[in-house]
Amino acid sequence: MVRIRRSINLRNKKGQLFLLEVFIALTVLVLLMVAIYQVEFTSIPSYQDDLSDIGHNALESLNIAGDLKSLVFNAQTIDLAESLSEALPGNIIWRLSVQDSTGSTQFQIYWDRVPPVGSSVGVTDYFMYGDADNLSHYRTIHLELWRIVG
Amino acid sequence: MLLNIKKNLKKKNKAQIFLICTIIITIYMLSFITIVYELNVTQYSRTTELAEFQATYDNLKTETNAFMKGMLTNYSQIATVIDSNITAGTILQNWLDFAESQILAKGYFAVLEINEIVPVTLPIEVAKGNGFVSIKANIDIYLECNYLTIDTELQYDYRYTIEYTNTATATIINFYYVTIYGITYLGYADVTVNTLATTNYYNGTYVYNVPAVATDVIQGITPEQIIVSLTV
Repeated sequence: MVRIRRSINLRNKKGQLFLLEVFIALTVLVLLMVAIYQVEFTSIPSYQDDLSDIGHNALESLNIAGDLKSLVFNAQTIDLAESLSEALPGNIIWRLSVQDSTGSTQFQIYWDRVPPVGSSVGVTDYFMYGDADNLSHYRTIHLELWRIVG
Repeated sequence: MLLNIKKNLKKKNKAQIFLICTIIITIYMLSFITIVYELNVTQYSRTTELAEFQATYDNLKTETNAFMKGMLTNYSQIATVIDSNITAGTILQNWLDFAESQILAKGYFAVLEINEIVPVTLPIEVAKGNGFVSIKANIDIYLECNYLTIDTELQYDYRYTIEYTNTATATIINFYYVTIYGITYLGYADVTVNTLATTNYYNGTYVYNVPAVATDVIQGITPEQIIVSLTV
């Protein structure tokens, strides 16, 4: 009789231990899945954040080509908008603001455009001097970019 | 009876050891997952910040290179604002101060200053004479972001020169500039003799079909509007 009781107790303990093991294994599995999901999630913005890089490259190429200074310092907003739209990929929306050395805004282009809530916005601040006759005139181009959603 | 008790105790111990091992492995796995996650986040931030930092440095370098040529253009013209080496140094330092403030505003640490050729008296050197115009300057650059430091010096030593040689029937003119990297011939400049056009061979050589004589003025203008004059 005593033997039977003991064997029942042992079997119960074994069962409990097995349950515990299963529970631990499941917990580890769930944690692992959550972690993998988070790791993947953090790598998503890497493609969106190259927006500032794209903006910088567009402004730099216009500047090296010799077009940017005259467009900015003569406030040729229409030509600047056209040049920048050609230099940027078609699926990117942008707006731009130009400030002088004191920080006061000289002009803005497409400033009424507002990035959609929750979208990733790239920002580029490109600084430049005037030209040979305007060595003490400085400007900062503040360019914001985001992608068309959908 | 005794054997049974011993067996039970052994099984109990085994179960406890197994449980402890499981807990240790779980902790180990969780730590591993956390490390992988943190590494990924750090790598992502590092890549993004380095790209933006590099872009800022490119911006500074491109514009400072252009600024030096701009200063030379201004200095080569009659109505120049650069009346001395000290003025030239002040104009350059103003630009560096503006660039420094822009870089600081982006959240990076930046120190940009002229490494003076002769302290106080000769910050940078501008010179012009018969057949040449030149500028010499050294700029110390120290930039720092979370993951990278740029500690370098930009050296500028441009000397634009126009020379001539007379043949029996013509004037052969060479227009070029010398830097620390060597000679660059200016194939797309505008070269005149007494305001009359020359024939351009697009390799820095220009030919005027009459030999030059005393008081003739040979003038070269680069695409950046740097003017070099030579009176024969």
